[in-house]
Amino acid sequence: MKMFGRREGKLDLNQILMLICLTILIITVAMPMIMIVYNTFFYGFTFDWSMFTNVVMDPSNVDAMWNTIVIAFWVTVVGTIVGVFYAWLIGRTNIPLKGLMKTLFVIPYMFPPFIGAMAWGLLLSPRSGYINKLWMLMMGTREPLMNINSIAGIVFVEVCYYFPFVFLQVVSALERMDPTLEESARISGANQLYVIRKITLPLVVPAVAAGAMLILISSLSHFGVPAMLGFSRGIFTLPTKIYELINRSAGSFEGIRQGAALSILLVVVVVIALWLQRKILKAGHYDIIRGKSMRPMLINLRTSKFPLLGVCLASLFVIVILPLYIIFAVGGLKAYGLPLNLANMTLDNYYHVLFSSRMAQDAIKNSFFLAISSAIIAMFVGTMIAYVVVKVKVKGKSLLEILALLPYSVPGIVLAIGVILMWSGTFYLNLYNTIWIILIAYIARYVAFAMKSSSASLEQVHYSLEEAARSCGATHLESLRDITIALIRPGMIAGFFLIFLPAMRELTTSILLYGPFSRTLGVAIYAINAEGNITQSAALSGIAILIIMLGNLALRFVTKDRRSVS
Amino acid sequence: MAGVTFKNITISYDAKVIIDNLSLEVDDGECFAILGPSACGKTTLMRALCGFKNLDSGQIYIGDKLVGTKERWKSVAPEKRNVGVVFQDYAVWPHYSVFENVYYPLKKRKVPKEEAKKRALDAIEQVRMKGYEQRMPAQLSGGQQQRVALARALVSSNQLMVLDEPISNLDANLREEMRFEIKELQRRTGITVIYITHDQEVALAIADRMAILDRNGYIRQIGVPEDVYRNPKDSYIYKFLGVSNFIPVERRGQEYVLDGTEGKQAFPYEIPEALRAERLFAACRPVDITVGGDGPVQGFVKHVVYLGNLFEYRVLLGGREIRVQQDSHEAFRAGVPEEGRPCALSFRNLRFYQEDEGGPAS
Repeated sequence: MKMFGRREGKLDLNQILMLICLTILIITVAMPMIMIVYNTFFYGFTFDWSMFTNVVMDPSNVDAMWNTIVIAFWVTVVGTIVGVFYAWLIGRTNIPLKGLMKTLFVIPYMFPPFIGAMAWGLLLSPRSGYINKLWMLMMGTREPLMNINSIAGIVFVEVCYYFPFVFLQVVSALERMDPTLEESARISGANQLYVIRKITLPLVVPAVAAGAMLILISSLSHFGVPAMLGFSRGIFTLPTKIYELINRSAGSFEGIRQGAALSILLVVVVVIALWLQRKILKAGHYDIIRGKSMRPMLINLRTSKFPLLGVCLASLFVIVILPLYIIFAVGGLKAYGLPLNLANMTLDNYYHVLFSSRMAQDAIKNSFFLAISSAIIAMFVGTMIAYVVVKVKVKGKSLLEILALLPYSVPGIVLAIGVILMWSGTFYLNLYNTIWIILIAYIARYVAFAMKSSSASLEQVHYSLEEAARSCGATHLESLRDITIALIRPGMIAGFFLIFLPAMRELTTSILLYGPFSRTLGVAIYAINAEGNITQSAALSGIAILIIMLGNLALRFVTKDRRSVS
Repeated sequence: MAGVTFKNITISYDAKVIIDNLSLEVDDGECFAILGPSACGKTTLMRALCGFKNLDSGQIYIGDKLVGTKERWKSVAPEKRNVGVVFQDYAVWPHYSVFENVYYPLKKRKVPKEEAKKRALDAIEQVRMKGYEQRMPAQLSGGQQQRVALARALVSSNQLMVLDEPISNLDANLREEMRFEIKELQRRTGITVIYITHDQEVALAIADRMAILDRNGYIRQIGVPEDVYRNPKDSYIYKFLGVSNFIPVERRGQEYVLDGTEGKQAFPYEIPEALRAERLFAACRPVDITVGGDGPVQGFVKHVVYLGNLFEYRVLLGGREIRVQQDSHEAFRAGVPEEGRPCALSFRNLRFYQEDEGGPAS
């Protein structure tokens, strides 16, 4: 017989793919999580509840938890209101300059929040902030206009960078909403305000809720802003407290265990938020919003048109232009504290961080290496998982999906602790202080991004396309390569950038994982800033922002150039 | 060239059995139609033949070669079965041009470049797509995409081609044209064709032989189209092959009577001895009923619809509404029956069944 090489029970390609995916996810995602739980509740091999209770009962940790919840609550409430307001203005009224504003309102979305926090620190820190100094000079007072190093300040900065979550969701919902729903209300005799209140708003509730929950979860696990603005005043949130615990103990095992215990508290808070999200999203589901794009009825703002435009432009100025300006301007100062005029400007800082500072150069190199390699690896792994989940009928694929999506809701700092516990010699392999441990954490964190992007394209590739190739004489692997992969290539490239961009500016995970030679861009900016070398850290931030904007341009270019899949 | 043999095959999805112990032989070089209602397992059968679906039991042979069986390791992989397939949704690859689509199977089968190019162009010409070689599928109409799929299936196998509802998405004119072309191609190349469809008209027009499946995936009848149409084995087949009337009749001594709202009347047609049960159904097509004249049966005209070349009448008879069609010229000559009036009916080509599967005929 010709086929005597094949034995019964041999795995086919689908099962092999499934096993590879499962192995990768268990190693990168499941095991670190298990390690956190294990190290919190077990000492050696004996059950030990005391570590957890000690950490949770510690008053300073309770304070941190309270701060986390208060900040997240206000960020969510204010961010949602701001997001809905601007979404409505741009999606439903005849306000001018719409296209420009739509682009500008998305900029904060790609702005690294911790750089924003730094910018706002430069503007509004109580004594040295430029705006506060100007205010004190003009008013002849010693009271600052606003103290950014406070809970309110943290809320303000987070709102600036998180409101686009709601804005983007609601704008797209408004654009897809059937305009006849509003029109029929008007015809039935309802006035404009009544229509907004009783028809438009209730219809976009699911989009609002989805965006708000995204803000809530992001804020709960957010590290950068409270770290930049809160440390100096002793204001801690759970993520910054975890960092503090580990940092203070200089990487001792006890400190990591305490951090792990506190992580569990953070995860519990996030899980409660996720549970709330499920409840809310289930409650409000409307099918009236269609995929078809229709021309909506626009509300004529009449006399309030220009005042509202003024409000928009002013807030864009505050949210986008001012921080950008201050970062680039301070990056160009001869010394921090000098007035911002041309005479004090120099390119030395930019030159220094690009060409003579070893740390900054390493950081740029490391971040590029990490962002590119994690994006490529996560993209392939994510596509593989997406293929198994979407196309293959094997048992256990739902487990695969849950594991891949888990890092979506696990805060970055928690993942980092899990990765430390897993890769610091526990399993005969010590990667601590090397760049590889960061790479592993990035892959775990970003696989879900690639999976979402690839499954969206895979769902459009009908299975008969692959089967047709098989019938034409292609092996399973060949049909995957020639047909399926070729067709989802644009989705994969988009997935690459969706990972590359956040990885390039990553701070939360890498700040716990970096070693002497594996600082990332975010870590370097943070460290140079903490050393007090403000101008150089601003210069490096400026370079980071430029890299990210170029990356976004590239992403726009590739997503626009999509070849259609029938 | 090769025939196909399905030997006692059973196929299921999850726990649901789709095909149960089916056996079928398709001869070398014939055009064989598999006809069945939607969701009866036709496509499952084709997927098993191509190797995309595993068998629970039984064997599939192409020619003398065993290609499909329960043990996956004994089955032949889809790419080695040498079957050309036209999928229901064409499955023309959107990122390849027409030429690349047709060239692909030849490349995979390692045909030398020059010869492959020639054969691909030949196939494109055969399906009358010459001049479109460099077009992308998105620039083609549904019918053109279908021809590309056909050309691709043609070059990918010289022995067996499977077509799964290939023309059901086309409009009526194009459907007729493609039906003709497929038959032409099959005659010219002598390839074995298995044609899967739910459309009895196409099956009757195209097939050398056909098999009719019922809703549960069982074969009800196999035969040459003319035979099957003239001698449907049961009421299911009779109904499946076209619009039909089923008129209930009852035995009264040696005679049969119709029982309707207008009272009982004799049904004076000869009924074969073997079938003479207490209750029977007289089956006939709408064109086999004549209205007016001195027909022996009395009906009641409910509606008259003029369809151009035909008149269609809805006539109450035996408690049911039956459909009658008459050539319009004949109707004008003999006088069109009036709505709401009784009329005389006579029947031709009657067949009798003891059952009326699927409830009262429309």
